Amino acid sequence: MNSKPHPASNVLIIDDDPAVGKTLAAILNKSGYLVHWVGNGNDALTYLKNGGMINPLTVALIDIRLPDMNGVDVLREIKSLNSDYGAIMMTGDADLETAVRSLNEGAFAYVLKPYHSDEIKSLIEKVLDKQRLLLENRALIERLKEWNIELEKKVQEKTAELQSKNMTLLGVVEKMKVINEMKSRFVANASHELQTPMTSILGFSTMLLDYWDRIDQKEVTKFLQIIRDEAQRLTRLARDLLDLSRIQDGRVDIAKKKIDLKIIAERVRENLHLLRPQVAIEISFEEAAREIISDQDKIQQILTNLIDNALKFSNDDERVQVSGRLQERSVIIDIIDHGVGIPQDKCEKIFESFYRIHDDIGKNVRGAGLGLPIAKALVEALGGVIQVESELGKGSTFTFILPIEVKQIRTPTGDKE
Amino acid sequence: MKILIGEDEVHIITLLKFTLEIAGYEVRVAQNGLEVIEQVRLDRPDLILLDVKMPEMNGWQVCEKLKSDEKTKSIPIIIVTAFVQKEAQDRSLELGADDFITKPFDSKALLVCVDRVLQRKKARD
Repeated sequence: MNSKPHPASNVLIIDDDPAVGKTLAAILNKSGYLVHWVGNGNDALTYLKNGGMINPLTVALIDIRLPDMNGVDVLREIKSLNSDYGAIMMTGDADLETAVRSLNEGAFAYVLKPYHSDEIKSLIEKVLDKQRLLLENRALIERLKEWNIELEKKVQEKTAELQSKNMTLLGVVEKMKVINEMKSRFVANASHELQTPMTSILGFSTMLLDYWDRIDQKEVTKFLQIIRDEAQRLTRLARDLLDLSRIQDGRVDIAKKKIDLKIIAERVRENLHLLRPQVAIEISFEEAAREIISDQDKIQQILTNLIDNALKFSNDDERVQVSGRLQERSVIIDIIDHGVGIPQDKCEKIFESFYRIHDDIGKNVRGAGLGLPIAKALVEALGGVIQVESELGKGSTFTFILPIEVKQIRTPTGDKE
Repeated sequence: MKILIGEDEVHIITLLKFTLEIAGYEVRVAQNGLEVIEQVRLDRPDLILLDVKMPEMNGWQVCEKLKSDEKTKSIPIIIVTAFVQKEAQDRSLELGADDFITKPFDSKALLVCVDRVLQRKKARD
């Protein structure tokens, strides 16, 4: 037989006959096996238990008749230590029953003495081949299992990724829905606000045309005035809508220059005083809070909208106070009125487009509900914040804070989500 | 024939009043939702023109209230609103309004609508 032994394969000879043990050991050693010879069953088991043969490619040659134990029992013990160990039984007398028992216990072959060493070597190689196949098979199965686990993990990862993407998409869809709803509501409100003055303009002009001969001069004048007023209201409204949408979309240019807040406030007072001469507007600015670097027109519009709002909700003979002070690198501007005040739960709502507090507090005041949203959007575009504190029946304080030097143009402020 | 106008915009009130009076109707005005309910109780009109966007109580709420009350449900209501969307019309009719007109309205169309609703009411009675 010319089969080459595996370099690291072990052979354990268990035989009390030194003639057998030594000779066989010598022969097998020469063939390249790592051979160990013991004379009885206990020695064999101790040797194995102490880690004598770590290599799974191990073949035990077991004599059936040992001084201390029966070879079949030794076989059973060895198999219980490691079922991978191969075993070949050797015996001097042919006994079919023992042969069958040995094979049942997992022996690979049963050899009758005297034997030829080539026969033994060939059997050993066969056992080793079987063991190698077994090991390879096991390794393959392990790898398959690993692949499976890896695959499963990858599937799970991909699933999780997909799910998270799905969630993100759902979130985006939800957000879009909300934005869409906001836009539709805005358009519905804007259309409503535009239709109202349009109704007057169309109605009164039609009236004048249809009943020209039946309307007296005084009424003609009154109707024409209404038409003019409503046309102006329409113009203001169109301008406000355009402003608001431009600021909210971030399409706003900021003209940076040194400005005087007190002078701007005084100019606004001059413009607004005629609207409500019964309400005094008081202006006081700390010297240090007067000059900032910002956008003059935008601040004028903010002040106009806030002071106009304060005037609307003030009663005759009350006053509106506008004051400015410096705090670190910001100016804080307060617009204080002593009018009707805002219910606590409406303090956020008043900055929403088209919200009109008088629909809730019953005070009928002009305006479409765009002044405060525009003021808020402008303050934010200039890098500031705005808030309101109010007490019903006592009045409101609108406070906006601006940096003393405006940074570059900010991107969309948008409506609140 | 007595018509009650529920409307908070003074110019629209003037316009409606003028149009209806010239056609021979007697006109009453209420400037918010609660006032409409009050006026109906005090001086029962033959027909109500209701704006939707009013302080205190909006036109839809007023319509729902009047139409769910046995004593007032037979008074015809026409909703007059600048909400031009189909949903606004559906909502009005759902709440029991007898008709619906959008602003800006044509004065002749308004009178035709008022007349039609009153004729229908007469036929029912």
